[in-house]
Amino acid sequence: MLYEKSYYERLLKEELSPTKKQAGKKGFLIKLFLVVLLVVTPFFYFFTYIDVLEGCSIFISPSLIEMSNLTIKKAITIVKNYSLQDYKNLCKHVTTISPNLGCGGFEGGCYYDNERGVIYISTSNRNLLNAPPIIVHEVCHVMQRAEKRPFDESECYHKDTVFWKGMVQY
Amino acid sequence: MLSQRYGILERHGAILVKKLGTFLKRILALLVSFVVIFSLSYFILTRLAFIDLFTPCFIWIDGDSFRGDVRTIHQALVSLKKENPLEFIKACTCVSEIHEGFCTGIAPDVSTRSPVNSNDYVWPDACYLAGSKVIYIKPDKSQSLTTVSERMQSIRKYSEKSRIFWETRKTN
Repeated sequence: MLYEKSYYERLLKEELSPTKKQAGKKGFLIKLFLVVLLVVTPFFYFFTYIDVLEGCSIFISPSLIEMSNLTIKKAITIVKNYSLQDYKNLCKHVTTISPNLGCGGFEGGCYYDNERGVIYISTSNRNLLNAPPIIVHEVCHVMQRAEKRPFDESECYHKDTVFWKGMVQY
Repeated sequence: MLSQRYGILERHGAILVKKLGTFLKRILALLVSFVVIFSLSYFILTRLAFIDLFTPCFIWIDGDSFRGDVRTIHQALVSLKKENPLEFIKACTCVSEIHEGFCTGIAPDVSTRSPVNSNDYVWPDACYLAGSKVIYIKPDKSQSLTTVSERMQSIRKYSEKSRIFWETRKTN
């Protein structure tokens, strides 16, 4: 009886415990993987634009009205492929893009002087025709502020018009 | 003694058959679930995209369910494959999305950006968005052969524009 007790004690201490610990570690890793898969990945997918090669990271805030985050991400890619300088300015000076309604209303954009690094792109979901020129327009206002130039709508309208006419090919 | 041995063998055989049965059942269940999942995914994907596994070709189609009909886009792509396989391969390589929508915005000869002020301008039936692999085609509910043919011509024309954009970008 004594022999049996000591045998089981030893088994518990020496053999079973590490297995339990290993199982616990495995369980923790699986949970961590699931958390990453279900929470972190969708967060990065829907709410961030990251371009490691160009050193660009932009937060795209959630919006219940437009739900156009993925369209905005596509629009940023179009700006990158079509006008690299505008893309570089966007990456350098803009930290957040809000798809919520701003002063530009529906299918518009907005830049508030008191919100540095934030632009509003309230184009509707899946509308890729308007989103890229509006990004270029708002980046133009951001640049005016960064270069301490006066707020000038006509300069930015000209920029987005030139961009639009080049981007949309008939 | 012999009968005992025979008994053991029989028991082992039974266990082996049982194990083999379980293994085959698992394989069958896996195969069935794979076929079901694959068919379901294929069914859903073919509603959202044009898929040709043999070319291979995958183009997202974003239809306008009120004013358009995606079936004519599918037909246009099938016709293009039949008529000109090389152009079809080009479309598969240079186009990733086809949107049913109007190319309205700033007309090339209208200075204002609001489409309201440029009502007189006749908007083209399709357009290509430089910097992307996206084509816009005007929504059309008609299922006539003319519509299919027009759409096929649009896909052909704007695939070429996309190819030119990406090749120029590569060489620059």
